[in-house]
Amino acid sequence: MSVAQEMILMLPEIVLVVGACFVLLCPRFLAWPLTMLVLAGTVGAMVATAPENPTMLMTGMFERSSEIDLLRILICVVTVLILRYARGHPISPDRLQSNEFYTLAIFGCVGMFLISGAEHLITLYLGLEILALSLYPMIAMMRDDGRAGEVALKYFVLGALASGFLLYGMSLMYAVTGTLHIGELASQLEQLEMNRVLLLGMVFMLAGLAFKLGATPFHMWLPDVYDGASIPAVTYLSAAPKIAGLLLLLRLFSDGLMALAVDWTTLMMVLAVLSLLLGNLVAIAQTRIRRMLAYSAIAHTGFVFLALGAGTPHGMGSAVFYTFVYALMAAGSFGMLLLLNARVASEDIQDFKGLNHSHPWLAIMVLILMFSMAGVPLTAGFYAKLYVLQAVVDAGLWPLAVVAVLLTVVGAYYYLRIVWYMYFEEADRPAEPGEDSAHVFLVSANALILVFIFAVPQPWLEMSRDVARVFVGGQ
Amino acid sequence: MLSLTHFMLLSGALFAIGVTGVFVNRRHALVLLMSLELILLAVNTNLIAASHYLQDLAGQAFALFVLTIAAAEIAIGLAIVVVVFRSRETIDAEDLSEVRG
Repeated sequence: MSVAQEMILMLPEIVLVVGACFVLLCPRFLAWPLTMLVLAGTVGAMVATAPENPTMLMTGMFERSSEIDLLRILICVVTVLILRYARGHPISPDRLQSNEFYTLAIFGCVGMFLISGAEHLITLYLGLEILALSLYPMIAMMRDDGRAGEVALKYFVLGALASGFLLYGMSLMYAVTGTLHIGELASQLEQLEMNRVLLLGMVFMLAGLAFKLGATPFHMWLPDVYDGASIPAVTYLSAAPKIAGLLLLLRLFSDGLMALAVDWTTLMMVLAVLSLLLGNLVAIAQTRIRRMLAYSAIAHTGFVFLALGAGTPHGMGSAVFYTFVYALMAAGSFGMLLLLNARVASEDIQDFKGLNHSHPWLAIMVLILMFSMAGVPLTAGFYAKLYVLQAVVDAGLWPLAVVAVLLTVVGAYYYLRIVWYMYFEEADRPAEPGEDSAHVFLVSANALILVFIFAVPQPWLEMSRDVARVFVGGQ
Repeated sequence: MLSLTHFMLLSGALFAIGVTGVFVNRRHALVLLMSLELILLAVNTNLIAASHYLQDLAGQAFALFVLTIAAAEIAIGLAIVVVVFRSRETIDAEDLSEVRG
């Protein structure tokens, strides 16, 4: 393939990078429209240059295929949602609606795009770091707020440590197999005998990714960061990197290290059960909504690990579906929080009391989001959990499915508590959501799409399975 | 004659010192950054030694990328330390515990 053809297939990434530079340098009033233009242009470039078959670019370091493009469009859509929600944030508009914030969000997309197509450990690592290096400053951006600086430092140290673990694991793999290409790595590992260095490398890589995703016992940073950083940054952090983390897990483990599946599925199951246990139980004790959502994020990560730990193609498909639904739920929940927060700075769960009296429509939207998080039927969260449990049972691991169901029932308590407060308790003081009608519209659309996915789940599931299939190398 | 195992033991030791530094050190944010740097150096030692013994250049190319990114990462880390120092007048890691739950 000629260089020109490769450049055309790389057009989405090129549009993003060039666009990010323009957004950084443009006058302030242009930053927002230009950001939207760049993201729309990226989707446009993706559609216009879509290859018919999966194509390898850059001497096999980068993959372009229509299934991966679907995921990338999802990443762009979630980013647009998050950035629009962030515009509702009243506390420091000059920082969080600035060129820099938008530039960092676009560079985060560049990182996720690279991860989604990476077929080589170097590309994978570069994508991961571009994403991480965009997230650190995003969290530290409210620099007059001491708490933001503190959690940014925590996140930075643990994030860098996680990258170090991942890299060390990669270097051990390289020393044994002699290749950095993920496809070659997979075929080399099938021929090699199991040895301790390989096992050590695999454990380090998994620990690094568990840190990044915030699975127990590597979750310490997550509640603090959710609590201390600005809500727009947390919104971005809660949705986008989850997609990236899933892609990394699929590429590295379900593709590259498939030969070691016996070992890593066990480890993932341990991570999954611990995350479900800790996330669901500790979330009950939380009084601040952000900390509650942080622990709920840990529990949701547990579900993704559960799906991947099944080690079957169906498990991987359900993991993609779960992450896709979770990204929408997380973006919607924080979008709602930003809306309700527009006047009142407090974020106590008690603030939801009596929301039904003052804003019945918003109360219904919160209801849908919370039901979806809890996995109640009539929302997408139900199918997301159901498919994961099906995959786990199909893999013959039904005791784990039972544990997961029990912990989900426990977890339903803290989501339904919010619903109880909204409908059956009187408000201590009136909540005053902002009158930003576009924001209300977007949050509503975000919540209603979860109901829509429940009504027609099959196409979304098929799509998730196709995506998983491409990642596992067409098996 | 030095073998690949020797180099891997060296890098393992460097890695262990780095990780211990991150978890044990509670005094100074700069020491945290140095420990993180040590971890990446351990990775580079591994990659370059393996690349030499395997007669494969990809490992050395990877090491160059790791070096570049380590520089960018530490630049951001230092910037965050400066932000923290401006608002707190300290970078003692033990004093940074306002956000708790």
